[in-house]
Amino acid sequence: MIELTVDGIKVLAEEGMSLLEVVRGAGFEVPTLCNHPAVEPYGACRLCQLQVSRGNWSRLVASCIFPAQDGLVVSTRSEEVVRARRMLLGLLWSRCPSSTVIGDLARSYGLQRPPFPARDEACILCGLCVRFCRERVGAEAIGFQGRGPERRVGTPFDLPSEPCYSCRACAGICPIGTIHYEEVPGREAVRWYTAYEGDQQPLPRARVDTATCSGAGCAACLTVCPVGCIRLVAAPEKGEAQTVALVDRDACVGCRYCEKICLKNAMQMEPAQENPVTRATVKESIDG
Amino acid sequence: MPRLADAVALANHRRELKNAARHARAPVTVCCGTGCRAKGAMEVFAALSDKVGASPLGERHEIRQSGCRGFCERGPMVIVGNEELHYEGVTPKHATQIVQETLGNGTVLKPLLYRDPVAKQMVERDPDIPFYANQMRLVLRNCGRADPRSLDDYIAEGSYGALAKALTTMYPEEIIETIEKAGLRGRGGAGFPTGAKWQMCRKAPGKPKYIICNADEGDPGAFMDRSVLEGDPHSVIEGMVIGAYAIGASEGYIYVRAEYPLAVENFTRALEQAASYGLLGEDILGSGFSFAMRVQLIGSFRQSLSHWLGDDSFDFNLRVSLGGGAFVCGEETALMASIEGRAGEPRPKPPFPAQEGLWGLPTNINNVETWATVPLIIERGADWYRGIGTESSKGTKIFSLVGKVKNTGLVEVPMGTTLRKIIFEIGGGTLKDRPFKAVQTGGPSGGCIPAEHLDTPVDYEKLQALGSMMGSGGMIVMDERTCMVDVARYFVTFLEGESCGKCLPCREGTQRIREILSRITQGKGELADIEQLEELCPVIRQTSLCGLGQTAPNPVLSTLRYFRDEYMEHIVEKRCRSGTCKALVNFIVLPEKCTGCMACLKVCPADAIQGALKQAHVIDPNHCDRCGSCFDCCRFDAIIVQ
Amino acid sequence: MSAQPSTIDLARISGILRRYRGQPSMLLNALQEIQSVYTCVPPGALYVVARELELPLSRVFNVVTFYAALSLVSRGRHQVRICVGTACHLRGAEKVLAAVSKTLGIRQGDITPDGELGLETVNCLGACALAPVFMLDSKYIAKASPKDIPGLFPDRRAEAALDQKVSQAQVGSSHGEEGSDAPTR
Repeated sequence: MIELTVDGIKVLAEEGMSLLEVVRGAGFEVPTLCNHPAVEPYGACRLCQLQVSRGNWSRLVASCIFPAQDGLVVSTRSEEVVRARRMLLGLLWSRCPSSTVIGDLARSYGLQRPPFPARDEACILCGLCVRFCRERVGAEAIGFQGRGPERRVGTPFDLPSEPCYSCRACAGICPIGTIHYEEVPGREAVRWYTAYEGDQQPLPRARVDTATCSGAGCAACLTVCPVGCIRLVAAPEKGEAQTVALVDRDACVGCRYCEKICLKNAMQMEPAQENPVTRATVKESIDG
Repeated sequence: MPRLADAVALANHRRELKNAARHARAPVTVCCGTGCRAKGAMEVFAALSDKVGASPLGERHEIRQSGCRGFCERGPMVIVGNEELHYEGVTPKHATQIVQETLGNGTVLKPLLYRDPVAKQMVERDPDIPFYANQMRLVLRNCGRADPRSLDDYIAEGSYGALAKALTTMYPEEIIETIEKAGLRGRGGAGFPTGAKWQMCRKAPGKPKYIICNADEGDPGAFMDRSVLEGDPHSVIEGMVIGAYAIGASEGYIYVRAEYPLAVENFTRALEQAASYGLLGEDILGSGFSFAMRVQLIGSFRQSLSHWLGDDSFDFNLRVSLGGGAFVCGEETALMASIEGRAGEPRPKPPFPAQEGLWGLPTNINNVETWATVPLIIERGADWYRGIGTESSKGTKIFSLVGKVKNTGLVEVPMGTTLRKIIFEIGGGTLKDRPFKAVQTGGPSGGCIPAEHLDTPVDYEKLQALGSMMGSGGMIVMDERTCMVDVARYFVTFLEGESCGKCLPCREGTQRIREILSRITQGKGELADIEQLEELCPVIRQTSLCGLGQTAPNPVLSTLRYFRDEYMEHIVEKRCRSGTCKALVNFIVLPEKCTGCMACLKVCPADAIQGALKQAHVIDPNHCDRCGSCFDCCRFDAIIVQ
Repeated sequence: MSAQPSTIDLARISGILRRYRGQPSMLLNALQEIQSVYTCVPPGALYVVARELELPLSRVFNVVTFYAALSLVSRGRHQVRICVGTACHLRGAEKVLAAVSKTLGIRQGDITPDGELGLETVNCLGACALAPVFMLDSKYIAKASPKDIPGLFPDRRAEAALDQKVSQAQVGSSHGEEGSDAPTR
C-alpha cells in the first residue's frame, strides 16, 4: 500500500499503478486523449500533466506513464499544470481546428481560438487506434508512418489492409471520432481514412438480446471482450440464479468480438445512440 | 599471430614489440583520417612510400599511416622522424622534396611548417604547436600515433594492459567502485555518473545482459566519436570488455553511423584482430570470461554496405547489423528499438535500460568517448583521474572546435578549462580576426554563449547554468557575421525534422517555433512572436517525452537570453546586422573605402555591381539578390550592411 | 509514392531474404540490403519482406518511412550528399546546395531524369574541418566553393567528378591559407 497526497487529500493505493490511475481513481479529473484502459500507456498527448513534488523537488509529469510512488504530493490544477495543458491544447487545436472535442477542451482551458496558424489535420496522432489494433485485435492492420512532421496513421500504401477484418474498433476508440471507412465489396476489410468531412458515421455498439443469452452458462463474450466492458447481471425474469450479459455501451468500442463468438446470436450490433466522441471527452472546467 | 593465452603472454608480446621498436626505422607518419584523406593523404602516402622505397633511405625510414590527428584544418599532415617535425598541407608533389631534403639532408622545409597565427612564428616540432601543446590528450593519446590497421602498434603503446589488469587482479565490483570513485560521467550528453549506471545494470535481475556503444554521433558539428573509432578503436573495445566483465554482460553492440565509412572499417578490422588475439570472444586472456560484439551500422552508404554485407567470415559472433539513420536514435530507448528492428521511437522511462533494455533484458549504454576513457582509469587508478578536472566534473573532455575559428579540429582539455583558452589559445581565435560573437555548445539542443562568459571554466554544471549544456562536445564558434536568429532557426529546423513525432509538444512545438523564427528572419515578425516563444518554450521543455524534446527549446531560449537585441532589430527595425537574412539586408559600397579592385564585380552572380578599375563600385539594389558574395570577398571592408 | 507494387525480381529479393527468414529483428538489415540492390525499397518488396520475416506489413511500412536511410523511390545510381551540419551551415552549405542543385537541374531529394544522380542533404559527415563539404558516393569534396561546382559535373554526370584523383576543392585550400568563411545565406 502506498500513500499519496492529491490536492491536499490523502489517497491510498496499490503499488504498481500509474499516477493517472490513482488520481482518476480517487475521483479527480485529469484530461487525456491517448490513454485507454484497454491498451498499454503510451505517453503521446501529454495532456495528463500533473505536478508532483517531494520535499524541494517538484516537476510536471505525464501521469499516465509515471508510476505512483509513496509519499508523492500531487497537484492536479496548479498554475504550472494549467499553463502547460493550455499550451498543449493550443498546439492540438491549431493542428486540428475542426475537431469539436479539442475545441471544447481548449475552450475549457480559457483559449478563445487556435493560437497558431491553423493546419487543418484530421488526426491528433494519439495512436489509440494503432495500439488497439496491435495489442487487442492482434491484426496490426494500421500503423504509424513517417517521422516528425511527416508522421501519420494509415494502412500501408493507403490500400485496404490485408489483416483488417472490419471490426472497426479503431473508429470506436478514436477519441475525436475522426476515423472513417468504407466497406470493401467482397472482402471482410475496410478502406480506412481519417477525415472530418461529412457526419460521423454511426458506430456500432454491442447490445445483448437478453431473451436468448444464456448468461453464466456460456460467458464466452466476457472472455473475448478486449476492453472488458461486458459483465454478468442477475436476470430474475428468467428464473432464480439466472444471469445475462450486459454491455457497458460507454466503454464498448464495437469490435464485434462478442458477436462473433456468441453461439446463440444474442449479441447484436446497433448504432450508438449518441456520438461516441462525447464518451471519450473529458471535460473539465477550470474557471467555472 | 596465435591467441594470447593469458596476461603473461600479452606482457611478453608487448615487451618483444617494444624491443623491436628500439631498433626500428625512424617513422614518417602520414595522417590518414577522414579529413586528411579527403584532402589527398592517401596519394601523399603512396608518393612517399614510392620515393623512400626506391632509395637507400628506406633502410632508415619507414612510411606509416595513422588515424585522425584532430587538426583536420591543416591536412594532409606528415610527421617526420623521431624529432616529430610537423608538415602540413602536403601534396604528392612535396614527396620528393621531403625525401631528399628532410630525410636525406636533414633540412627542414620551411614552407610546409605550421605558422602560428597568434605569435606569427613558424613552429617546427609537432608537440610545440600551440594547438597540441595546450591540450591534455589522454583519450586521444593513441590517435595519430598508432596505425589503426595494426593491433601490435596499440599493444606496443600499452593497449589492453588495463584489460589484463581488470581480468586478472580485480573483482567486477572493484572495477565499478573504481569507476565510481574516479567520478567518470557519461560523455554523450547528460553526464550521468557511469559507475552508478553500471552498478544498476549489474544488480538488475535477468540474463544475458547487454552493453551497447552508442556511436550514433548525430550532433552536427561533432566528430570526436569518428576520430576515436578511426584512430583508436582498441581503446573502445578494451573499455567495453572491461565494462562487460564488471557488469556481467556477455554480448555487446556498437551502433555506428554509416556516414563514417572509415570508422566502420577500422573498428571492424580492430574487432577481428582483437578476437584473433583472444582479447575478445571466448575465454578472454585465459580468464574464463567471454564476450561477443556486434556492429550495428546506421545510415545509407551503399558503398560501405556492399563491402560488409558480403562478408560472413566473422567468428566470435560478430554480425553486421544495419540501422537507418535518425538523430533521435541517440536516445537510449530509441537506439534499442532500432537495434531490435523497429522504428526508433523513445519510450517512457522507467523502466530504465539497466532494468529492461534490449529484448527486455538489462542493458548498459555508453558512448564512444566514455568507453575509451575506461581503460585509462583502470590502468592509472581513480585517484589519478580524480586529480584532473573540476569539483563536479572529472577528467578530460574532447571538444570539436568548428565554425568561424582558425584552427578547426578536435581538442582534448581537462574539465574546467576556460572557453577563452580553448577558442583563442588552442583554436587561434576567430577567422580573419573578426569580432567574436558567441560559441554554441552541446549540439543542436545546446545553447549559445556570448563573449562576456568566455572566461567560464567548462564543466557540466557551468554550461548548464549558462543555458547551454555539455552535450557530446560540439563547440561552434560564431563571429559578427553570424545571425543569432538564423542560428536558432537552423537548430530548431534540424530538431523538427529529427523529432520522431510521437509526443505532441516536441512534434508540434518545434514546428511552431520554426514557423515563428522563419517569419522573423523574413522580416514578418511581430513583438507578440517573442511573447509566444517565451510561453511555448518552457512547456515543450517540461512536457516532452524524451531528451530531444526536453532540450529542443534551448537554442531559442539561450539566444533570446543573450541576443534579444538582435531579435528586436529583426522585428522592429527590419534589419539583420550580420548580413545573413536576405529579406532584411541591403549591401552598399562605401566609396571612401572602395579601392576599385573589381574583386566583388567578378564574384557577383547577379551582375549587380558596376564600376571600373580604381573607381568606386556601386551595387544596384534592384538586381542584387543579397547572396553576400561581395560582402565576403571585400578585403577593405568597403561593403557594409545597411 | 507509388500506390501499386511495381514489377520486381522476386527471385533476387528472395535470395536476399533467405538469410533473414523468420527473424523480425533483422528487418532493417533486410530493407537496407534490398535498397543497396535497387537504390530504393521497391514498394512490392515490402509484401515479400513482411511475409518472409513474419511481420505485419504495417510495421514494415512504418520502418521504411521512419528512417531517412530508406526510401520507397529510387535515389539514383550515384549520390551527391551535401552536408548541412552546423559547421557547414556557418560556412555556406546552403550556397553549395543551391549551386549543385542549379548545376544538376534537380532539387534536393530528387534524381536526374536518367536516374544517374540523386541529390540529398545529410546532417553531418563528421568532417567539419573541411566545411562546407559534400560527398559524391564515397568521395569527399572539401571546402566546396559554389563557383567550382559547375566544373565538377560536366554533362551533369558523376563519372567525371569521381575520376578526378584529388578533389577540386583541395586546390582552393592550399597551404597556409585560412579557410573560407562565407556566411550562410
